[in-house]
Amino acid sequence: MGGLRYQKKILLFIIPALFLYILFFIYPFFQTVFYSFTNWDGFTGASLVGAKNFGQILGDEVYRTAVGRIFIWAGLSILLKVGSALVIAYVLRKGGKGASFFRTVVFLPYVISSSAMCLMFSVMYDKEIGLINILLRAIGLDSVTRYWLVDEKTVFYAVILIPIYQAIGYFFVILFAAMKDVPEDLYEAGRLDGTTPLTEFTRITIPYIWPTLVVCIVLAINGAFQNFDYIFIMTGGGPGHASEVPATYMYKSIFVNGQYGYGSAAALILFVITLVVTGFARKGLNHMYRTE
Amino acid sequence: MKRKLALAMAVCLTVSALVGCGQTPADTQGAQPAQQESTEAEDTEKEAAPEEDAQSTEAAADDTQTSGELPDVPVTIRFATQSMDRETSVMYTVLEQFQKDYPNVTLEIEESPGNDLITKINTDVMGDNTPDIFTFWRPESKWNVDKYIEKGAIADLTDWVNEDEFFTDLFPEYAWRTATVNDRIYCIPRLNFYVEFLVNQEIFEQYNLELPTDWDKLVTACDTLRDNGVIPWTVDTKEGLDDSSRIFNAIVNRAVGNSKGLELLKGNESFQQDDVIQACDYFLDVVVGNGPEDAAALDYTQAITKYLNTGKSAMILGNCSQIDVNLTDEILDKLVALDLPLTPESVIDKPSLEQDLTNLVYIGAAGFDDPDKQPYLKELMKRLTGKETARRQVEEERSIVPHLGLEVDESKITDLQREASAIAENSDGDKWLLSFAKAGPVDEFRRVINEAWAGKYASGEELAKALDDVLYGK
Repeated sequence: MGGLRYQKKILLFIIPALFLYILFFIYPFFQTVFYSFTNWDGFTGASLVGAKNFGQILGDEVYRTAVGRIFIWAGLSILLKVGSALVIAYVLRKGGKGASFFRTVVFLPYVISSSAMCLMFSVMYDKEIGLINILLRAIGLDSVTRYWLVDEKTVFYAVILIPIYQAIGYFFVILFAAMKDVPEDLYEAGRLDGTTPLTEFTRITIPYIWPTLVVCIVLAINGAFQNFDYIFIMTGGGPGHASEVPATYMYKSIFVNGQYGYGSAAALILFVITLVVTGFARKGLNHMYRTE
Repeated sequence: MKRKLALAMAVCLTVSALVGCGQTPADTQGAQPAQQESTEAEDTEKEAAPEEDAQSTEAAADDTQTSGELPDVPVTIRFATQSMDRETSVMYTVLEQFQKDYPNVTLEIEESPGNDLITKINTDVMGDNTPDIFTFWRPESKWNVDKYIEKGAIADLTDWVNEDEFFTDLFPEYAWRTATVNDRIYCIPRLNFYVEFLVNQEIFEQYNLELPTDWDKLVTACDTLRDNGVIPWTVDTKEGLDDSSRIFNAIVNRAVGNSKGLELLKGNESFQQDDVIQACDYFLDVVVGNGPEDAAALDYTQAITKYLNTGKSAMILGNCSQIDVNLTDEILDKLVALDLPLTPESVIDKPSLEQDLTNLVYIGAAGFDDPDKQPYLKELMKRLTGKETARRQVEEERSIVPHLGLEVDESKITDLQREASAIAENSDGDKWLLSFAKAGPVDEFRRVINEAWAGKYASGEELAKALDDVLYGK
């Protein structure tokens, strides 16, 4: 193909996208890094304050608790989001009556907007008219009913249930496609050797789709760490700071309190945490199953 | 040939991406009203417009007395405001009429829901992209207007106001005082607010309670209502909203005075003073456990709809502009407006209430300095703040306006509005305690007040300490 000439042509097509990427991601990122070392309020000039912002943020118990919450969110995302999608994809992989209907039903929540889902769930969580409490009363668990979005112990979990439930369809589609690529010969060979369905799942399916599964896990972690809209719409991080996450903390610092330098530092810390955790997760998981 | 084609495609892609990025939603939205206006203008020439609306909006145009003097040049004006119901909003009809009268002007309306307007104007000012004309809150530090002025983003209207007869006897002294910063006028008043105290008389009669005309009766009412399963106060304690602190503000104004209250909320004085601790005790006496259980999940409109309108709660103290528009006709008959009683230890002799301008109109400095835009901005400003528009807002939207000598159709004012307005007129006006507070500490202040409603603080001392932790010296 004429190596160097071919590469130049590719470069020409990449340039527009690269330009936009630099303009909207790389440049703002370095701007954020700069402002994180200042006390910029958005209106007057920015004065350098060194690492003061970082010290204040890391010393703020609200922020530290918020970081702890996103780790919990990531764990639950992997378990429930990816786990459920994996199981559903495996069950529906074989096809059969109603499989396409169930595939549609599983994916449907993903196409609903986050604000519509939040509105729906805010009614479902109501103590008097909410579906969840009605069901609990119906099975005799009246003592468990509550205003799920008001109780500080339950509000965070009540809110994150929504994106976890909604994204199952998204991961289902990815894992379903990956499972479809598993050669049928492997399953046949396994059946000849007397594998059980569980062994088939753990010794054939999982190793074969492992790279895709790793991507899903990393995406789940990333989504949990950066999620903002569900918390913002449902509770704003309240009551008190009971559902605060770093993204809402950052938003309030910048857009409510006008502390652009401080908020930039919060954003940078979140970026570093996300990078480190997803990096370790990817590396660690990739080592578990090496494929030829 | 292939290389040239590849290069041409790359250039086209880059150029189209940059052109696309240069379009703002306002550009596309602004084009639509103008296009719609031009086709609607043709249609209305053929149909008769509703007589009353046409007369009203034309009267608003006549009010200004400048039509015919404006240069016929194409001009684009960006107008930013909170989201409007375009079918019922008086302001929207004024904007529509303005467009019809001046087809050479393209009016780009930029709406933001609720308090998001603050974020939008902040961002615009920071980006040197201030709208040409916009509605906003008072020119106080709480709303960052002091920074807008410092940056030179908003126009100094002092000379125009002093020279133009339109503004003579339009507003009372206190309204101009609010619109003035360092002896310069930066905005024109539009809407007022006062805090009103409304009580459901029917519920009080049902439980043989006297109306809360003094402090002891208020405390008794709260206890009795709560014990009988009625929620004493309609309130929301949702994150980021100020409704739950209205009662606290009113009590502090009574117990220690408005001036001291302002200093406390600015963080200049400690809450751990005997009189302030006493005020905190009064506050806890009437609020702990006396709001809806799901207050933290509701906003004010939802709380009024769910509890006050349905008779599940008995009292409300809040901003009249938020309450009145959400009341049903059924509940209007049951509500009575009262003075919130003085606290047992009080520094004032008669009840006061928070009242001030709540909505004013600003002009961007760049737009005002543009010789083509300025006449149109002045014309639009006059239509938005003139007496005719104010009259319609009172009659159609139950708004409160600061205008002097306004003649309104009394049949369109509810008895409740009349009662509440009379109380407001006879009361000394307190400045809202958060007017000059800093944004960060204010957020924490709201959280502490919401926690107080939930019963976190056992005494005034505990509450005072918590408030000191978030406000004093911050």
